[in-house]
Amino acid sequence: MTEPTPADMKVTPPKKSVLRNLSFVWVIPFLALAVSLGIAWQSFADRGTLIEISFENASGVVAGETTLRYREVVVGTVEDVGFSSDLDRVIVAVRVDNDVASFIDAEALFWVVRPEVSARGISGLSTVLSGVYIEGAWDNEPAAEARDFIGMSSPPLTQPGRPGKRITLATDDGTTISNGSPVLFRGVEVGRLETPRLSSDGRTVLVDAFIDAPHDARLTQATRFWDTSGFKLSFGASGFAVDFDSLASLVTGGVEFDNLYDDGDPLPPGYVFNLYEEEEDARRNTLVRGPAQGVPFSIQFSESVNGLEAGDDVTYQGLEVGVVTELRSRVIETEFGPELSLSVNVSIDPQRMGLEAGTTPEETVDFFRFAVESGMRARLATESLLSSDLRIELVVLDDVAPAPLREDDTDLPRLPSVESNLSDFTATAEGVLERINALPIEEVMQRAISLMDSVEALARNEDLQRVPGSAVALLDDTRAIVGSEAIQSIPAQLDAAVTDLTELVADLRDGGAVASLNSALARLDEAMEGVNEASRNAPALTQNLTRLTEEDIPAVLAELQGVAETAQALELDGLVGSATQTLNRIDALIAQDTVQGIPDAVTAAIADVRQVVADLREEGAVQALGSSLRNLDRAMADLSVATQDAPAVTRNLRQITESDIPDVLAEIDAVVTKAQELELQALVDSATGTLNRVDALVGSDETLELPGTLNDALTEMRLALAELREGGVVENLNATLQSASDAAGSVAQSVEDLPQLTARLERLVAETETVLTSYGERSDFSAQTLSALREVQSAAKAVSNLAREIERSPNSLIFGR
Amino acid sequence: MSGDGMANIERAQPVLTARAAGLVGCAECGHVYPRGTPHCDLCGTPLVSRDRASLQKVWAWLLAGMVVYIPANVYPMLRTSTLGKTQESTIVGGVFDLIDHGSIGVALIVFVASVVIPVSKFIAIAYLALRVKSGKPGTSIHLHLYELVEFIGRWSMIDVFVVAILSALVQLNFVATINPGIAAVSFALSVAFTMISANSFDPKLIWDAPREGAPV
Repeated sequence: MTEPTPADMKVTPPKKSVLRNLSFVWVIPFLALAVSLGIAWQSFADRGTLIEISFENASGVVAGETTLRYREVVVGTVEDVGFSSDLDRVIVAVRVDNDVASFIDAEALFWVVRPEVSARGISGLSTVLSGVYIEGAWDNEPAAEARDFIGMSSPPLTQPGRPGKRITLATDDGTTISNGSPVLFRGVEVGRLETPRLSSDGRTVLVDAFIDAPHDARLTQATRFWDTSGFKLSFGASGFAVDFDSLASLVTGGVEFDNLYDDGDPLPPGYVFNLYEEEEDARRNTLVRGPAQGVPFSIQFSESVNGLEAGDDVTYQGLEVGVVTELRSRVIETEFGPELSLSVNVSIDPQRMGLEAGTTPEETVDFFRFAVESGMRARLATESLLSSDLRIELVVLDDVAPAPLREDDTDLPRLPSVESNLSDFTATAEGVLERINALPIEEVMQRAISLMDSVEALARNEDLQRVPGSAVALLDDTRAIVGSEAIQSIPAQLDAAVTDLTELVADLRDGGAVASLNSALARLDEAMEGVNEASRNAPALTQNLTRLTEEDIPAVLAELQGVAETAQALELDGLVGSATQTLNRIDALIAQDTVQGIPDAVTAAIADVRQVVADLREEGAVQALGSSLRNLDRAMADLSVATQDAPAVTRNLRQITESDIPDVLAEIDAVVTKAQELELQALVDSATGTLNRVDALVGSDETLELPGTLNDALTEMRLALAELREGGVVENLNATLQSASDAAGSVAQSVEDLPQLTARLERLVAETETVLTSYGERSDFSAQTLSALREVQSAAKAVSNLAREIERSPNSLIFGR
Repeated sequence: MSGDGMANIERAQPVLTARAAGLVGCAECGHVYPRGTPHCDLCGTPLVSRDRASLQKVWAWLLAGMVVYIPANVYPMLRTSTLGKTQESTIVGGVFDLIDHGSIGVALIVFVASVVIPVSKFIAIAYLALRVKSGKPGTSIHLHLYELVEFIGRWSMIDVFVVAILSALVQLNFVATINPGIAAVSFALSVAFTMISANSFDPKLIWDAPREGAPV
């Protein structure tokens, strides 16, 4: 075997120049290096600014995973979670993007967003799956950067840079307000409440609220806030009332405000609003009121303040000027030793007393010092007639002993008090019952019974039935008088007498003794005058008759007429009595002998005249005339008197017959007519019927029993009242009222608990609702979940197929087949 | 050639290379021509006895692969978003995660494919290149080493394939999403560069060293 000889080799010697020998493939590593360095530099440059935030705890914060977000955009990542040097706080180091780092100044806020279920709803739900993240908030103006921050434990109510106004509300009870409750204006949410906190003295609950712009411009001193959460049960004198705006307000709760009037004064700095429990309270208090603005005073009462509570009103002439803040007893030293006294602390709003806004407490105290010197006193007063609730009223009294406004350094200025004129409910009720008891019911019943007896007796009066009979008798009598023969014969006899006289005169003329006759006539004249004078009784008689006919009978008739009119006016009892009386009187009048005797007397007188004349004629001796002149004179005198009176009598009688008697008859006729018109019988019948009915009514058993029953009832009432008074029912009533008050207190307590329950319920409802909503309406989620599940299913199938394939031919993995 | 190597080993004698025999072989079809023949008659490939730029290419690609291997390990390989929770894992971090989850076998595969093999390749290629440059004679072990490197290099792509497949499959929006990180590209580049580097190595240089000195 021979070794082959190697051929001459023409080997090009290696070039010595390194550069010329350098392959251009070296570009590749340098390029790779450049790219790598570029990537490294870029990632370093993009690394952002490191800031440190300290939290109370960092639950859920994971280094490298937890992100920092600004308006839900990731702007950084947590790089490290550590502790402060004293392990007090957790320091979270966050790498923030450079483009936002310049905005993070000292006012930036950071908090950890966790899933939260609250009245506002569910927030941060996405963090359930993705883990918590840190939310940052800062304004949008570049400022000096800060690096160390203190994280907040809860999301801030207002983020920096958000336009609006932050205000403070003061209330007594913080149970119904909670963090995040909405602030409503006419039902529109314009802000939110922060977490309630106690004031420094612990007496009021303060809560901050943030009102978004532009609604914060509505806030003035005329703005009133009230609580709209839950519903209110009230039980009072006006009844039982359930009050709530709507079902929605039951669930959401919150605070509402409104302006009582326009052009309210702008808010001074540090202004504190009062949060009223109800809208009516808020609207009623047109002036500023509340412990926050009030000036405290102390009032000492020597009487019981049972019924006075903290929160009751202090009024001045009916206007609320303050509120009772505290009730307490205190020991005061008197000259008789220590004594327990009741002290009431009140807070009085100077503005409600008419003082200007901005009045300092010192000026207010000065004002009250002057007012107390002028007679202003505090005293207890009842809220209403029936309730035992008390209030304190400030009154200005004229006649009070001077008392100063007591001031010392250790206590509140003390307003002097005066004894009140309280009338509590029990006393009032007792007084009412006593008055009822003192009512003269029995006497009234007695009087009623006697009145009914009188009516019954009147109805049974027999005089009433006799009235028509008497009237008929009266008319009969009258007619008998007028139609009597004596009166009828008067004219005839007069005629005869005159005839006789004429004959006598003719005889005298014929006898020729004219002179004697003259003297005789003169004597006759004298005689006639004598007769005239002598027979004065006759004129009196005539005058009596005349008066009788002219006055009495018309008077009687007038009376009768009046009686008729009275009867017409249905004065039945008077009618009966006076008619009977009148008729009797008329009867008696007509039956008088004087009246009856008038015609006879006249007739007799005329007959005497005729007798005289006849005697004269029979004597016939003119000679004897002289001797008989004296007799004649006397006779003539008498005659003249008689004849002088006769015309009057005649005239009177004529008058009687011509005018009066017809008048009388006419009047009597009228009377009778009226009496007929009176329908006396019907009247009497109806009156009798009425009276019978009254009688029947009065005589009925029920009516007869009525007084007894009333009497029994009154007796029972009196006994019951006596029992009430004796059996301590008044105390029982007091106790019952106290129990009712306790029960009302329990109810109030329950009602106070209700808002909490409502709040819980509300959270539950909101949670459920939101969850349901998110699952129901946002089909995106479910759709995605479904599609995801489908994809997972298909992926699983694919993987399963792949696995089966690989199982079938393992080397296909290797060979790619 | 492998058979010759085996025979040489058995005989423990210096081999006679084509170059030493004044011949040059076609790299494509294997036809042997006398030295100085510019082109292969069969396939037209330029005939070069030794690629003088071979080691330069090897070093260049090797360096490029090593450079990009650094970000491949520093930056996250996978960005996994599960139910809104995003997790980034580097290669080594993923291995440790797998160990934490108890999948030691898978962790081993990933570790071998992603760390052991690339690093071994770097070392092997560098060793071979240095060996050639130092002029020491090569043995068949070196050739086997080279062949092993060339064969196993593709398997490093298993990581890249896993990432690619996962990224393509697991796109379930919110529930689960897997995206490749920068390291995936870097790692793929690293593997590619290393493979190019290995392919750039002219194994014939292994045998040249004792007689011709450094070929560079």
